[in-house]
Order: sequence, then structure tokens, then C-alpha cells
Amino acid sequence: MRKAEKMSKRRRKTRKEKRSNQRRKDYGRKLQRYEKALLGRGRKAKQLQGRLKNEPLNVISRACRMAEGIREGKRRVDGEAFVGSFRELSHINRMPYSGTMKGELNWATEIILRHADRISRFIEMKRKFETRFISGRYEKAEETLRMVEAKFGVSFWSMEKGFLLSEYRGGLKGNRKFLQAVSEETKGSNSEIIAEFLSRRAERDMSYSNYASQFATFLEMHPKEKRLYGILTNVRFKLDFPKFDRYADLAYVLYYENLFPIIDRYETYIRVMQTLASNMKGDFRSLAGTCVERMREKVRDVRLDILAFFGGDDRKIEGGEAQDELLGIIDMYTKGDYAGAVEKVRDGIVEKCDCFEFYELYGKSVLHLQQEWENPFSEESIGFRVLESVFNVLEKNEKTRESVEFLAKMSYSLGSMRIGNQILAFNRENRFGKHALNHRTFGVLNSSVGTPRVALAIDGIQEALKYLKQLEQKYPDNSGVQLFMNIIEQDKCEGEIELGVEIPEKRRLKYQARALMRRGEWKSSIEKLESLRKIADGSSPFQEDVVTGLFKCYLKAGLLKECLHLIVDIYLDNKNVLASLDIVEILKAQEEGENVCEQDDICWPVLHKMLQEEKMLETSNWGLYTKCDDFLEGREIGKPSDIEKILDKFDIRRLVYFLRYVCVPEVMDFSPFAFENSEDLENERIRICQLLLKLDKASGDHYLEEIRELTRIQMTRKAIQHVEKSRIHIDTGGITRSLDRLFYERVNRCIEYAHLDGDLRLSARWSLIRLEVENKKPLLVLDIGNDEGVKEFVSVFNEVKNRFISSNEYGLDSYLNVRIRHGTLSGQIRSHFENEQLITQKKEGRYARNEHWINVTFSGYGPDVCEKADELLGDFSKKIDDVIERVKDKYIQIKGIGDDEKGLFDYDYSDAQIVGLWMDIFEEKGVDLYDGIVEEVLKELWYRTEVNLEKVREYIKERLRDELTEAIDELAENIYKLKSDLKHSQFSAAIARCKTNIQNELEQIAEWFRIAHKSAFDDFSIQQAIDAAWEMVLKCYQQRKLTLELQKCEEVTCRGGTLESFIDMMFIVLENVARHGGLCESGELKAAVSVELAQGKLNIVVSNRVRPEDLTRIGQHLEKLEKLGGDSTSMKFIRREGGSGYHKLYKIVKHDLKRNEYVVKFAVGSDEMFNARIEMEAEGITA
Amino acid sequence: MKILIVEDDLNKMKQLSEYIGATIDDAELVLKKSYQAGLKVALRERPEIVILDMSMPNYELSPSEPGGRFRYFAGRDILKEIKRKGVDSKVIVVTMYESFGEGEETLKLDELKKEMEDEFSVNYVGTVFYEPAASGWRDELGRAIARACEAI
Repeated sequence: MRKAEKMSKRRRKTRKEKRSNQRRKDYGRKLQRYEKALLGRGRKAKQLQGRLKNEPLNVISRACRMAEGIREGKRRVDGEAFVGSFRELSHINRMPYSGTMKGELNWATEIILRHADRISRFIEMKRKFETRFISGRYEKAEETLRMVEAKFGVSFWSMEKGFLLSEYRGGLKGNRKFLQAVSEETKGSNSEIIAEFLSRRAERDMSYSNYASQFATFLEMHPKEKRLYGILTNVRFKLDFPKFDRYADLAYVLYYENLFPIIDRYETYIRVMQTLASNMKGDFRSLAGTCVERMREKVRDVRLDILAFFGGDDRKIEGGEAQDELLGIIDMYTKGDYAGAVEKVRDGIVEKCDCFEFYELYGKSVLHLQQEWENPFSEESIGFRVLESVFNVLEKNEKTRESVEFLAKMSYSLGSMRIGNQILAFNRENRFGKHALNHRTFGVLNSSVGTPRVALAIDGIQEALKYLKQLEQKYPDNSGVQLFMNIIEQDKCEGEIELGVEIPEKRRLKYQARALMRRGEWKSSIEKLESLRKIADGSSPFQEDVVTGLFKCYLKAGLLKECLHLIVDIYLDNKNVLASLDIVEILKAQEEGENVCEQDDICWPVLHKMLQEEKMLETSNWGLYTKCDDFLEGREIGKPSDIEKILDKFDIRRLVYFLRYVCVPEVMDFSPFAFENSEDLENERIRICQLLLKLDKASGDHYLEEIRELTRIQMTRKAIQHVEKSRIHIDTGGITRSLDRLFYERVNRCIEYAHLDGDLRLSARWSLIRLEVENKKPLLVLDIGNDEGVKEFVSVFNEVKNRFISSNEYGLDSYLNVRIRHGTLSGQIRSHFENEQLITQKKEGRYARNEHWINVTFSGYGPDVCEKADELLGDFSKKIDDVIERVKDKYIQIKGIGDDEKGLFDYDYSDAQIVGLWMDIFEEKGVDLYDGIVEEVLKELWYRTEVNLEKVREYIKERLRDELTEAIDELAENIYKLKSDLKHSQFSAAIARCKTNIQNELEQIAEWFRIAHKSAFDDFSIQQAIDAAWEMVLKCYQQRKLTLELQKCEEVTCRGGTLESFIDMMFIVLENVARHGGLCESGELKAAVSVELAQGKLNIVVSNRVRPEDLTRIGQHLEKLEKLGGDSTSMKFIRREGGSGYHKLYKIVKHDLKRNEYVVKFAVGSDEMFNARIEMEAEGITA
Repeated sequence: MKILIVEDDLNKMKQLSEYIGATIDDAELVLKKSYQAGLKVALRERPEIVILDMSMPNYELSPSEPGGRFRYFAGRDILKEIKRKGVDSKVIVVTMYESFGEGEETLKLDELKKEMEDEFSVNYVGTVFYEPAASGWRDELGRAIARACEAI
């Protein structure tokens, strides 16, 4: 039995030995395979190299050591760890991607460890550089940088510091010079791009948002190719870390880092570790615990010491002098010796300027003391501005926002320094908007030394206490360490919170509340915080502590209403205090709905607006409207302005914010019942502003300005409407006055003849004709040819008719020309096609190439399609212009004038119609006075005008609409024939939009063709007429970049009856600017207007730049105008189509405004500026 | 059956109303040309079927009304209000466009359809792509109306 046992034991031992030998052999073989793979190049070797990265660290380490005996092996393992020039910065990656985070971490750890000593030395020098740079000792910093480069070669780290030094020593010029030098070396490589952004990031005057947006543009420019994804992820991490949120891709960041020097690899490695530890909590241990532990053994870096605690390595953190100093200050601060803390920090901060904790302690201590403070840094140093900004942020004063922006900029510029990361974390805590990075832990991981606060970020009570106990061993009497230990220990206790340390009352309450919150005793915590609120009386930094604490407690305790009111009231008080809160939580709590707060609470719409304002929630205006609607409905209020009746039911500050920022037109215009039209909506806003004037007198000017602007918009719209209703105008008063003596005599003859018997009127043969008069019984009348009375009436009628239609001064045709045919009609139709870029302008007899659609759509289909499409669009432009011309020149014309029979204004009267009219006036109505006859004739002409206008409206709404829509359909069909999928392109959407818009426009244009019923317009300011004319010009030239500058505009009030004339006049001048003007330097087409009233004269000058190529032509045109000078001859040109339309100005001034003394002058100055000057006597037209 | 058509394109409006008039015997048509006018009828009269265009002006255009803000997503906004106010009309969107909005707010028709399917499942019946020159939209609209009638 014993023998058998022995045998069995021996066999077992032999088997074990065998297995162990086998394992050793396998291990050896494995290492050999990996060694071979590291030296090989083929596909299989690559696969094994990738697999090696996923092996445990000791396997990687052994395999690397075995391979490094050969040069190729060493190069594969190390890459180019140290390089001498920027040219050599970027290399090929000799190791394949492992496919896992663990693999890349392992590999990076092993490779960095191979250079651990040099990395440790680099870290010492790095810190030296940072303190010298931040405190403004740039020459010294430069020295250190040169030493780093001499010892460890160049790197992106050193390049970045080079940019910072160049910028801070030599300004932008220095920065660009350095960039030039770097670019020379890095041309065409990845490094050149990185250098470009490092240079911009260092620029003092470039804001962080500008930098971030430039970087985003760069990324957008890059094709979204899969092969670029990894390297771009690395570049994002390097250059835009504050915005980086692709945590799942951190393996790529490490993998691509192997292209770069070992210093960069190490810095990126640490940041990747910190990012993982910040967001992974416990999982970080299993992923990276071993790597951190190994690294910490060889590399001296406090960041590794702190990371180690997160990785489960609880060995003591070595402190040093900085830790002693900082813990000493923390002790003073905890005990409430703020003056002592201030003094200590002031003495040490410049030397320890890379430790952000000093800045925070200094700021907070000064705030507790509530006294003036001094900045120990030299004014031009970065440290000076950082300290100042930290103070502003902590105090939540009027400079907080600006300071937050500056610190955000610093978190970029100093991004590769430890303080840069600390600033990033501090800033995230103090600005609105959240980010995926757990900034609090990230800040702790970047602590300068081990401080008590680190414990709060460590996962698990035991681990946190373990950390604090270590600190306690070293600093047994430190009150800060004791305080944190006691707070954490309270988690396990019940009853009153014992802090065990003597600290000031306010802070005692704060920490007690915090400890109660850790226990989940929300109501008790609220009591403590309310007590603190009372004694702190809004002073910094307690206010923030109180608000953040109460917010959390109210939410947890289900006190939603209290929470909502707290947030809104604090926001209205000092919004900066809320920056660290995730306010959106309150909405989630409301949605979850266990303890909802009523929707009729005014704070809901206020909160939503506030979240929209701070970009914390993508609240649309519709979302705001629904909150506003719920509130109003809940209170049974129809319109916001009705709140005036129940003012006493609201807190005035909340109400003012609600009315001022929520009840704005863009929100209220969602309401389907409250407002009938734009004017109704504007009037409501005016009423709201009037109410606000009473409630918020301090902002009175703002509300007055808003009322003024809304009134101006309404007045301009009314003025345009008035003009649009007055387009069909005939100055019958002017016609009546212009009739001469001879005409008077003729009318009287008519009357006399009418009194005669029929046979006495006959001059020759009898001839009875049968006449059908509409709606009247058939009459027997005389033939015109024989009746002298009727003949005389024909001449009277024709005289009035001719003046009615064609008088240059008063007639229909001249008004048609000024108010419809001159630019307006064609402009408003054409602009819809121009808006969609479907037509182009004609230049030198040809339509310009349609670059827009060629670039946007057709270029993707090859040159053939481009050419054909452009041809079709050219034909289309011509067709549209032809249609518009035809409308203007043939249809919106008086029939017969200009030998055109198509004119829709038909004033032809047959003999029978005239006889019928004669009978009606003289026989039926028995009119026998001059005025009565003229009135009857005009009445008939107005009646005919109504008939004509109906035909015009019908023509526009039907025939013209059909012509234009058919042209659009034809174009679309022809284009789709080129490529059928163009039906689903942006082009097809433009076609559809254009069709809808042109139909609606024609409906509007048709409404111009109604007789203007002279309604009185109130007296108006001349600026109103200019605004209205300019709006009309803009409607016609929507595609052009037009700007109107009122250089000098005196307050001139004009009489209501002159509105149309002023608008006509300004439209002609400004339309010419839009049509013929040259661009100014900014690329705009600018018209400058000045109005002056002096010595009884109203003087209007419009000036604009002239295109150089037009100078000669304009000169000749002006010469001609000068010769005509507005006399009667020039009146002939009023009804002439095309041209500048300047002749019409004479007519408007002389006849419509009835000015006897006036000047209309045009000139081009030597500066290529065109000036149109209109001067007239003011009496009678100004009020 | 009361059917509301909200459409600012006059030609499209004419074709839609002619088609519906010819295919549904008891159709009582209400025609509106803007977001506001359409929404008022939708909420007050609660028609059985609402046929919506997607982009239109806020108020109806007239010589005295410039139309207010142009809404690229007027149809969706009407749907939102219909849902919020608990109106049970069945809604069919008829559009000529394949993308909507401007700049960052641009949405493709498919994305918009998906959004409407997800968010307005009670009211939204479907979207018909309207091509004036083709006749396919009529069949599609007919089918959508049939689905709406079944769901009423």
C-alpha cells in the first residue's frame, strides 16, 4: 500500500514536472515565435506582432528584449523614440494594430518602460519649463526647452512649447516666423498640419471657440475614409482634447501615437490613462491596473502615483516639499485661518505656479476674508491672468463669463501641461453645458500632489479611507485630512454629523450638509443648507455650495416646485452660480412624474428659455411656446399682455423675464388663436413692451427701442401697402385743371346743341340707326356723322380721354410707367427665379453661365450634362425675360399706343357707344353744366378702367401664371431628360419652390391692378418713405448684397398726401443703384442717403459707387439729361420704357409734388461716386 | 366627411381638391393656405382627415399681409399641435420636396417621415410625394386616404 502510494506520488510528480517542462518549452517556443515575428515582414509575422500586444506584459517584455539584439528588431519595437529634427517627427508604424485597448495599453507601457529613466528626467525638466513659462520667465523657459531638446530630441511637446514661447515673446509675428521655420522642415507630412494647429492654439488673441471651429472645419474638409479614421482620431485627441468624446476609440489614439517620439507617446499615454480612469471607475483596475503599477515602479511622476490609486495600487504617494507646503495651507484653510493661508499662498504661488491648487486656495481664502487682494505674479505673465480669472470665476462676478472664456482658452493653449488639465476640469465645473468627460475625477487625477480631495474621487469608501490614512500617517495633525476622513466615515454612521475638527460655522454647516447628502438624508441636509443660506447671506463662495446642495436635495426629496423656484430665482439673480449644475435633471424628474409641479407655474417657461439661452437643452421655439401656452391656459389667460390684469399674482422678476424673453414674436407666432395676422402679433409685442416699461423701468430704453422698431416695421409695411394700392392712379384733378378755354367752349356748345331739337342739330342727311345699349331698351338715335351736337361731344370726350390716358403729367400711362413698368413688375417676378438661381443675367448679349447649378448639381454628372443643362438654363432665362418684357411692353399697355393692339387697357369706343353715352348724359340725366359733363365723362372713363383692370388681373392670374409655370415645367422636363435622377436633386426642390412662389407673387401683383381709392395717409417721416422704397428695391433684387446707409437723415415730417410721390422718387433712384451700382470693398452694393432740411429747402442726396466700365456711358447719359434739364421736352421721355427712369423724377417733383422751384441733378465725381441730388422747396409738402 | 387641405401652392391645392372632390362623394373640403389658418381649422373643427403641405408661410398672404415667418416645417408643427391638443384627425403629408429646412436644420424626406412615424403614430398616416407632371401621386394619395378612413 505504501509502495503503491509512493509510486502514485512519484508518477504525479513526474507528470507535474513534465507539464512544467512542457510549459517552459512552450513558453520558450512562443517567445521564439514572437522574436521571429518581430524581425519578420510577411503577413503571418504581422499577425503575430498584433497578437503579441495582447500578451501579458512579461511576455511582451521578454519578446522585445530578444528581438532588440538585431537592429531591425529594435527599430520595430521602439519606433523612432528620439529624433533630432522636426522633419523626422512622423514615421511609419512598424507594428500592426492589436484591435484592443488592452493590447495597445500593454504595448505602450512596455515601450515606454524601456525608456523609463529618460522619461523620469524629462518629467523633472518639463516641470521646470512649465513653472518658468507660467511665471513669465520666458528666457529661462527657453533655456530649459533647449536643454530638453538637446537631451531628448525634438517632439510635438517641444514644438508646442516653441510656439508658446514664440507667441509670448514675439507676438503673432514671432509665432508665424516659428511656424514658417517648422513648416519648411515638415512640408507635406502629418506634422505640418499638427504644427499649423499648434501655432493657432498658441495665439493669444485666438479664442478657444474660434480655434475649435477652425479645427472642426479642417475635419469636415477631410474625406470620411475609413483608413483616415484612426489617425484623425489621434489628431483630435492631440489637438482638440477638450472636445474629444470618442472614448471607445482611445486604442487608436495610442496605436497611432507610436508614429511619434517617446516623449509624446508618454504624455499621450498618461492622458489616455487619465481619461479612462475618469470615466471607467472600477473597470479601470482590471484594464490598466497592472500597466500603471509597472510604470509607477520605474517612472517618477505624481500623475502615475494618483492613477495608481485608481488602479488599485495603494502604496504610499511620495510627497515632497510641494506636498508639505500645500497640506500646510490646506490645514490653515480648514481651520478658518484664511489670512494665514493667503499669506502662505502669496509667498509660494509664483514658485509653485504649475500647481493649480494654489490658485483655488488663494481665491477661496480671499473670498472668505472679503477684502482686497493682490496678484503676486508679474502682470504680463500667464499666471497673473489665470489667478485673476480663477478669482472672478469663484466670486461669480460680472467678469465671470469673460474669465471662463479665458480659462477655456488656457485649457487649450496649456493643454499639454498639468495645469492645463486642471484648468480644464475647473472650467468645466464652472461653465454651462456638460461633457462626457468626468471632469471632477479628471481634475483630481491631475492634482499636483496627493491632497485630501483626491479621496472623494476614489471609488469605494474603503479605498478612499486607505488613501486618507496614508496621508494621515505623514500629516497626523492635518485638519484637512481629518475632515475628509470624518466626512467619509460618516457614511457608515447615523445621527448628527460629527466632523471632529474645529472649523468655522459656515463651513461646518456646508460639510455637515455634504455628509448628510452622502448618507441620503436629504431633508436633514436641506435644513443645514437653509441655515447656511441664512447666515451666508449670498456671499461667495457659499452661495454656490448652498445652491448646488439644495438643488440635489430638493430633487432627491421630490420637492420639485422648490427646486424649480430655486433655480429660476438664482438664475435671475446671478446665473453664474448655476454653472456647475446639471439643471436638465429637473425636467427628467418632472417627466418621470411622481412629484410633478403644476404646468401653470410661470417658472416652467422661464426655465425652458434659460436652458435654451445657456445651450443646455435644444429647446426649440415651439417647445417654448408649448410651455408658455400651458402656463397661460392653466391661468386662463388669452394673451400674455392680459397678465396686466393679475399682476399681483406673480413675482415681478420672474414675470419680467417671462414677458421679455419668452413672449417674443418668434415664440408667440405658433399660437393659432391669439393672433390673426402679423400686425396683430406685433401689436401684442408692443403691448408687452409697454407693460414691461412699467414693470422694469431700469431697462426702459431697451423696451422703447423695441417699440420704435416694431412701429417702424408696421409703418413701412403700411406705406408699401398704400403705394401698392395706389399704383393705378390718374390725377383727375390735374386733368380738370389743365383743360383750356377752347375745351370749355366746346363743352358749352355741346350743352347748347343738346337743348336743340334733333333736326336742328343735323348738318346733312337723316340717318336712323338702331342701337342696342346694354341693359337699356333699344333707342333710335342719330348718326354721329350728321349730328353736330354729338360730333362736338366726341371731340370733348376724346380730349378728356386722351389726357386721362396719356397725359405725361396726370395720365394713367405715366403712372403705369412709374409705378408698375419701371423695375417693379419685372423685378418682383424675376427675383423669384433669381432666388432659386434658375436664371442668370444677360451680359454682352448672352446669358451668363449658371455656375450655381453647375457646381451644386450638374458637375456630378460630367461635362456633357453640364453643358446641356447650362444651355437649357440659358434658354430658360431668355424665355422668362421675354415673357416679362412682353407683359410690360405689350399687355400692361394702353391699346393702340405704340401701335400695339395687345394692350389690355382698352379705351376704344365705337360710334354707337359714344352716341349712347351722349344720350345718357344729355337726354337721360339732362346734365347741362360744364363741371357735370366733365364729371360724367371721367366717370365713364373710370368705369372703363375698372373693366380693363379686371382683364389685367385675369391675365396675370391665369395666362401669365400659365406661361411662367409652363416654362418652369418645360425646363424641368428637359433637365430630367438629361438624367432622370435629377428629379430627386436639390434642383428639383428649387423648381418646386419657384413654382409655388411665383404663383403667390402673381396673386399679389394682380392686386396692384385695382383703382386707388385715395385714402388719407397720416403724415410720415421721410425716413419711412426711404425705408419703404428700399424694401421694395430689396424685393426686386433679393439675390444682391445690398446695403442702405443713412448718412444723415434729419427728422423731416412730410404730409400724408405726398407719401406715394416720395416713395416713387426714392424707388427710382435706389433701384438704379441696385441695378447699375458698383461694389464697394466689402463686396456689398451700398447706397448712401442723406436728407437735410435747411433754409426752407428739402435736400435729398443719394450716392453710390459706379462700376468703372460704366463711367463713360453714365457720363454721356448725364450730359443728355443735363441738356433736357427737366423742361417740357423731357416730359416726353416719362412714358419711355427702360433706361434710368430719371426723367420721371422731374415729373414727380414738378407735377405730383407740385413744386415750382426744384433741382434734380446727377453727377459722377472723381472718386467714381455717383450722386443724385433732389432739392425742392419744403413748404406745402412738409408738416 | 370633413377634409382639410393646408397648402400654399395654388396649383397643387387645385389638383388636390379636384382629385379628392372627384373620388370621395361626401367630401366636405376646407382649404387653407398657411400654418395659422390651417391649424385654427384643425383644432376648432377637428376634421376627419387633414392633408398637409410641409413648408408654408405663417399667415395667409394677402395685399395687407406679407405672410410672417416662412416655416420650413409648418406641416410638422401642425402635427405637433394636433397631437398635443389631443385631436384625433388622420394626417397625410403631401409634398413636392425631398429635403426641408435650411443649414443645420435640413432634414431629408426619409428622415422626416421616420420622425413623423415615430412621434405621431396616432395621427400620421403617411406621406405622398407629389409630382405635378406625373399621375402616380393620385394613386398614392388614394391609398393613404383609404388607410386614413379605415383608421377613423
